Amino acid sequence: MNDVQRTWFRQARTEYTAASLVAEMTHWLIRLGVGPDLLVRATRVVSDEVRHATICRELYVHVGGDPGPVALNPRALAHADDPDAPTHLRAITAAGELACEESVALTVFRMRLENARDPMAREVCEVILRDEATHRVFAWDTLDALTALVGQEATRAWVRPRIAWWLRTYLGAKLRPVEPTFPPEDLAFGLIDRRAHWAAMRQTVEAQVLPRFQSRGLLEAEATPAMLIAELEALGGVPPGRSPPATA
Amino acid sequence: MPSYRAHLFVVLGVATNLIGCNSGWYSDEGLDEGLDAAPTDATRPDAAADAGADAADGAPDATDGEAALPRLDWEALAFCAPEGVPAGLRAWRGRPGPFQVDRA
Repeated sequence: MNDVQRTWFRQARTEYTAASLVAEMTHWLIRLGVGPDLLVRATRVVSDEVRHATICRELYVHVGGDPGPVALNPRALAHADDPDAPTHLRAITAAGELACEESVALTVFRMRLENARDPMAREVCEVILRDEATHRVFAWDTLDALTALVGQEATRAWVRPRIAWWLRTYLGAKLRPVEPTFPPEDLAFGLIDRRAHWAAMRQTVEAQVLPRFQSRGLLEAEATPAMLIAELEALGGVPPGRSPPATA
Repeated sequence: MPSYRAHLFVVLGVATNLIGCNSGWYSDEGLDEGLDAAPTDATRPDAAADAGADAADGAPDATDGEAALPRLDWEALAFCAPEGVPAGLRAWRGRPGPFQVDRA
């Protein structure tokens, strides 16, 4: 599998996984009795993610990928964090993680679209970019609705220790001294050079994600990415609220 | 007809929320970044047209105190219907999906 194929194969799996995770969160939102407006928007996000998964797979096949079914790990298709927590707290985790992911995804797909020259790649990037904007608003609105339901203090007490974990992919990334670069013909299929990719994601976290948690009173104003990276390292790869596995 | 009025109020209440999902009443943090080209509201009748349709259909007038409530926007729900599925996905009807989850 070459870099272009790998990129769109992974993206297809990511989008399908997102459909499953938002569907699970939607069930929690229904059980919590949030407003019907939010529920309809949630189902729309699920529909969008299914469509994104399908068109990403079509693009993967278009660039020479295997036309057979895309294999998925069932464990990746369900929320793993805080499995024993009550529904309202699991929903807050799901909404918080979605807000982080969709905020970064918007930046990434804007960059993909800037690079894409292949017509099908451009179409896929345009569809996803347009939808990601509404998904990001949906995610933050869901977090707000759950905050109103649960209360500001209880939400902050749950969210604050988890923010670093939710952002672990972006805060914990360590680039090698020399990263491979993609030739222009690969960039034309919406690829992004790895250094620019990681830099943009980190910058989105700092400039957009953290301020949104701060403006909601869920993160102290003086918090910085460096502070969260230190928290992440202190967790040692174990999600907040869960004990590390016992050693023999 | 009290039961009719009760039903009407429920429908109007739901309509208020459902139309909201398509009309930009929500927080718009960064919405413009990806939506410059998005035709989200292009097909939705404007408020004046809604008001006119309400009057024509005999919906409650201003004296009932309900005139401000919009009617249920079925266009906004069209994606739920089979014909609302994007053409590219409709081609999958009756066929196994392109993703395979390990059941073991």
